[in-house]
Amino acid sequence: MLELRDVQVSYGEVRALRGISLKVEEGQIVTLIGANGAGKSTTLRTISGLLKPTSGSIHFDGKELNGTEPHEITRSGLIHVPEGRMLLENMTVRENLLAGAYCRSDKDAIQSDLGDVETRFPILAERNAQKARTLSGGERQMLAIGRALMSRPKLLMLDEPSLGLAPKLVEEMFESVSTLKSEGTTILLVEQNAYGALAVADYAYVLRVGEVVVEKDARSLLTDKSLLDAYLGEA
Amino acid sequence: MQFDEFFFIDLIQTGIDGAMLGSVYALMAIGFALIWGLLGILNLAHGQTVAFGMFAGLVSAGHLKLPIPISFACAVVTGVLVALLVERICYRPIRRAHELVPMIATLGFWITTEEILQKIYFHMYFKDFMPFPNPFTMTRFTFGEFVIRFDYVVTMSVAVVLVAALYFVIYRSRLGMALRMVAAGHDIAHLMGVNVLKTLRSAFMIAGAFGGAAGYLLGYVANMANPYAGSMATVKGLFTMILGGAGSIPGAIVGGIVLGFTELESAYLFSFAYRDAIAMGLLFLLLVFRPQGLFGTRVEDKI
Repeated sequence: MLELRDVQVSYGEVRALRGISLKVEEGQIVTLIGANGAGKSTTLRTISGLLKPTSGSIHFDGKELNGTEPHEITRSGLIHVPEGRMLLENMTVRENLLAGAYCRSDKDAIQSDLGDVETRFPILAERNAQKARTLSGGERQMLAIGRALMSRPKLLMLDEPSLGLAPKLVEEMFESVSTLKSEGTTILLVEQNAYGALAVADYAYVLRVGEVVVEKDARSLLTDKSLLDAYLGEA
Repeated sequence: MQFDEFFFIDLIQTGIDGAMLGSVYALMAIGFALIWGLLGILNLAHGQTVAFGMFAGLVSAGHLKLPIPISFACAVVTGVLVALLVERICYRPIRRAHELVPMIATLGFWITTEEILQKIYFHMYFKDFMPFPNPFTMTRFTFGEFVIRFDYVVTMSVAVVLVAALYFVIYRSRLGMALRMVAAGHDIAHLMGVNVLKTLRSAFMIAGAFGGAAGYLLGYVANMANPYAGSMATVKGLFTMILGGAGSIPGAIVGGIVLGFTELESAYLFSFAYRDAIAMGLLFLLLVFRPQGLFGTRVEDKI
């Protein structure tokens, strides 16, 4: 469904990605793990079009994305939930959710999806008139995911969804990622919390300084503790 | 000023006139606030939408003798066209450069177009001065001791309608949703599927429409047009925006009214000759104590 072939990205002189190739099949959870600065967020920002690759190709849903504007990529169903959530801080929770459906014009379906998201995350219904900036960390994460669901993603890219959450909420968050998969959403999950991510993922890529150093079935990588420690340090 | 039995009546009268004049300043400042709020760029060329709007009003109402609503529309359209030109020349091609680059480009646009406009005025009006048409110069309403100029009422009503329309667009339309997302950040707007470049072009058009309208109204109440209106508009519009709080639209509105009020009251209480110096000085003092402006709070409170 999504395929990157030898994608390279530079920030000026700095080569942030040194040729990344990866694949996400429909219905899978694929995770990108690695230490800080490995290029995980850069990879997602490149896929969603915020960064332009210097070489290599990205295919999504049978189409090549090179040179496609980021808003067009979003409209094709590839939805990126960026690190730190990037909520619309001065808008209400309800407005944030509707912003997720900005590209859609099917009003009735939007209303019913809004109902679904609010059933999934009841706290969002409770807080619907509150400004996003007043939410707690866990609520912010739910809003970010809820907003992404409002755009009916074909492929959902989550960047560090467990970041800054209390341990109990981290567990709940990984559970809701699994639930999304079981409902048929394809997910590309970027995480520093490697064990959490591997436990829910089907396939994993380990990144180090802009390169894929290991790619493996998530289950078997999870059991290969020496390999994990070697690349991730104490994860 | 004389300290006699009319002192307070005149003081209030001046305040009313000032607030009405201020509504035009508010229109000018909204254009700056929109572009600053969405782009973080000081659009120094924005005053030229005012200058060209005024000129279009003078030509269409004065020379062509078109009815007021039509010549007003000409001024608005001219403002929009000038703003589109600014977007096309000073923003779009160099938007990825450092933010100072577009700002300097708008400075160049300002100076160049002001020179051109000045030459046109010189050739057209060197022999024959043409006043800006205002059929209601002498029409007045009286309320007890107070007098209200009809053209001020028109001006203020137009300003109120335009601001109401702007708020409707921002909070009730799809374009408004896009504008608010762009104000929150270009990356997040992109990820929500907003065509940021197109939305920014619409913002320039809205700013230009407000500038053109302000230019027409300024010429109309002053009963004359001048080629330097752009410089005045840029200085006062920017000052108004900073006073209200950079990028804040409510700030631009209140800032405009405060500036108009302060200007006319300083002229009345001190001296007309030092009107701008005193008004700007007082407002400068206000900023010393409240540097974020009247409505400025945090960076993200942009619209």
